[in-house]
Amino acid sequence: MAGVFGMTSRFWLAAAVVAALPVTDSRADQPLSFGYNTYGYPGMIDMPAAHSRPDGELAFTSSYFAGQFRNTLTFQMSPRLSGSFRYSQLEDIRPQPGAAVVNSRLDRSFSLHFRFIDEGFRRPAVAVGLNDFLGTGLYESEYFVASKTFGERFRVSGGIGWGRLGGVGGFRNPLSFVADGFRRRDASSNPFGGRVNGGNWFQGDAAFFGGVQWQASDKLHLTLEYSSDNNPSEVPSAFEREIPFNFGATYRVRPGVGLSANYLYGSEFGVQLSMALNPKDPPTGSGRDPAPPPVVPRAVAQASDLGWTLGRDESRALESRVAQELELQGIRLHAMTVSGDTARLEVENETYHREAQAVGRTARALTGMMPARIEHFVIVPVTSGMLGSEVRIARTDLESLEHDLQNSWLSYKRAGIGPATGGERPVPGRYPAFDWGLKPYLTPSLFDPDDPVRADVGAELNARFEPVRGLEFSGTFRKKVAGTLDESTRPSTSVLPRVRSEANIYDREGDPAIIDLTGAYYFKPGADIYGRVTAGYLERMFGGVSGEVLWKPVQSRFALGVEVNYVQQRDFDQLWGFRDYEVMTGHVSGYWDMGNGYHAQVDLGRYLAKDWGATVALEREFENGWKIGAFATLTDVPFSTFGEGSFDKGLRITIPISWLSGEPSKDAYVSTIRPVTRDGGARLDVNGRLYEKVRPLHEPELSDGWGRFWR
Amino acid sequence: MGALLAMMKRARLAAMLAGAALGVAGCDTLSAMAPGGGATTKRISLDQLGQPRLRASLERRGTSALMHVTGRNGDVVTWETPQRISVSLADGVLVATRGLGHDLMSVEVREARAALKGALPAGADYPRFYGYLDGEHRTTYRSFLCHVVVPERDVVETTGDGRLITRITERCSDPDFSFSNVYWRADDGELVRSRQWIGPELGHIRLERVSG
Repeated sequence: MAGVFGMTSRFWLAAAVVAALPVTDSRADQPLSFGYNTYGYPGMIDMPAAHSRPDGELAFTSSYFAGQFRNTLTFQMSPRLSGSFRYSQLEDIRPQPGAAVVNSRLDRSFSLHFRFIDEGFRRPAVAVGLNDFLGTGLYESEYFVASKTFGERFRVSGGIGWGRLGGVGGFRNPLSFVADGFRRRDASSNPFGGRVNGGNWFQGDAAFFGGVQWQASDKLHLTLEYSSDNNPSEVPSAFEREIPFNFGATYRVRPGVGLSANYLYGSEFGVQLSMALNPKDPPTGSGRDPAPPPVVPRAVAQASDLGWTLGRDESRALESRVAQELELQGIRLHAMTVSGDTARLEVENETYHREAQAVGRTARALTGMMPARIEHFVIVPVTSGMLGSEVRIARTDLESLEHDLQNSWLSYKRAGIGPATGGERPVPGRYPAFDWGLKPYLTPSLFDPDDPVRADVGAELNARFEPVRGLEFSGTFRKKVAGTLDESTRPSTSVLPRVRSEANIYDREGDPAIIDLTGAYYFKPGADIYGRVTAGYLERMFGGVSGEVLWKPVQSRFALGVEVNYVQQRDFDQLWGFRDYEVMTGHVSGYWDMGNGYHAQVDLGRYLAKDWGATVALEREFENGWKIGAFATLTDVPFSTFGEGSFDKGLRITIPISWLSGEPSKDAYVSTIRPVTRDGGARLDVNGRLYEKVRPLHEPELSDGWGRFWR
Repeated sequence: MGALLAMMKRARLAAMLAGAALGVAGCDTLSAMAPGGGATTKRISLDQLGQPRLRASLERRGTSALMHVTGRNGDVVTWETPQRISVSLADGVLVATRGLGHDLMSVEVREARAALKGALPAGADYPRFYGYLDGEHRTTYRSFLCHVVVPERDVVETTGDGRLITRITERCSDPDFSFSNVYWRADDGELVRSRQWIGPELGHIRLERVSG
């Protein structure tokens, strides 16, 4: 049931997890700990700075001054590039120049910060950035900034800004000497938000900004900056801008957590809290998995063993001993045959994030149980009855490498990994199988203008029945205990079929709810091809039939899939009934493991609102199971028809439970953060999609996780 | 039974997560959990009574446990606690730990073992490589130069059965860091006690043979 955990859990959950963690930052002893500015991207107080944060760092920043409350999630997606998503509450501002002052405005925006020159002995680091390039444009600005450290405690930054950052002390845009079009910047009025406002980038007047930062002690750093941010919406209704200077002090409460006090523009005090963690630094290191079974070497000569074959009763007894020992390891024996000098086992990994670890433990356990003449172990990882791959391991290698310094890569090099062949009869007792679980659930809902954070808590019951190989009946049922999701009364204004925008009615009326109730059949119609047919109540808003075929050779970094669904919209009460909206939806999907932890996926097809288009998703995946990515969907629905946000986009964060607990587990939080959820570009949310099922059993995932073979 | 266990395991995880999500006691839950707390506990069978035992103490955590032999492969003996935390020793020299988190995956100890037996010239430097998994589960190595400290190789005590015990100190360093391992070696070659470094996060482990 991996991944069932909190499918709907979201962003603030992640933020709370960040807050609750004992953050260990291995780079904490670095004397320079300059961090995030009030907009949450790498910088000083309001101004940017050129340095990046450590690769992989995920930070949540909250800042407040003069009615301006900014909450930003920033991810250092590569050593040079960081991206931020910001949710702000602005009070007493003018959304457009000359417009009336509004009491309060909630606004979402994105930023990118790219360092393209590294700091050298004489040379400063240099970065370029874009702010609010995809939202309503309230924070729209661009900059180039250079930063140089002197000694271990000083940093000086200076740069040139456009848009909001070109508002004070502005001068004629130097780029306009190259092309006249840079001279004028259009007013950024974009009522729907969401469009890339590329036409304005680096246009209009420019201005200089700068600042110095001093690491006064290991815990404290002080900042003085000259701000070119004219705060066009906020001044003078929210605060007065008396001077262009800001003063700040930041205290590092513990590694990754900083608290700042700022004095801004000669008139206001502000505060800021930054919390950062790095997926590369799990709190328990490589995990507290219980010790694996020790390798049991064969005695030098066991002549009595030669030519010995197992009778039927003996092989039954061996089979059940192996099944028991594997169960202790959290691995399920699916099938087993012993013939000649080879033992072939099909196993299901129910416990370990890495398939290689399950393979390693299976092999180790076998050394203590198999007759001495068995020299080859063929271990076949299985998922939902489908054979994933085949790993051949020589018993002699296990015996000689158990305590070898370089056992990890030597054992990988000597293992033979290839496509699985055969497919034996499952061991007696494997089918039929019934499995169930009861746990609490939490479903937050974010960004409703009436109340930006709402949530429900309750009890969730999961059950799964597997009568024969490949066939799975499963269901998820929820009973709410308490919550505020039913307070959302904002009606959908969508002019498209309301396939997602009436989620609040589903929240209100679905108590208790059948989240899903399906029968699924998984099969392997050919080499490298995997298939799935699912029917029933597929997800909380749709039911019907879903079919999928995936092509994924064991050694391939590419995969191709086709999915076709015929679904009908479910009743709001999420029990048995349907509404009268039916749709044929489906996609052709391409998957690419680009290496270095980057993954790309492209889906082309027809979405739930009968719109045609494509989704592009890019994810950074850490080998310990963290995934942080972004996706965007463009369809033939015009931006104005789509409504607020213009098109569907969002962030996806996956947090492995094992990272938090240190215990082996395949469970993970998966949370999708969408600035706005509307009806265009909406995809069916069916369980058991094949790529994520099959990929862990293949290369390159097996080799990526091979460090855990001996774990 | 299996289903019930699985359910309890899930409920525990879920409760922990809920705690973490609410920002309440998230840290406490994590740190209070005993190492390997979720592990299936292996029963110690009666025939293990009277078998050799090893007391292992983690200095930094202030915890200790008794271990029994669960595996032998060549010169390496693996000792394990009922909670499935294990150490593997080659002639008493630590070569691996499991179940602790930040575990030592493997070490090259051939020359260290020779030095302890006095087979290397006194005070001679030899390399020692330590293998770990980093936060992304990738194998990483740390290398040190080590030597046996000459003046500290002293006869210090005798055991009840009249064996002479020599204390041997091994000092290791790399450019940033140094540590030492101390071994109490009987004249028949057995290491009866030791204080050995596991890694930067776990620090030292004390190992002592328990008789009776």
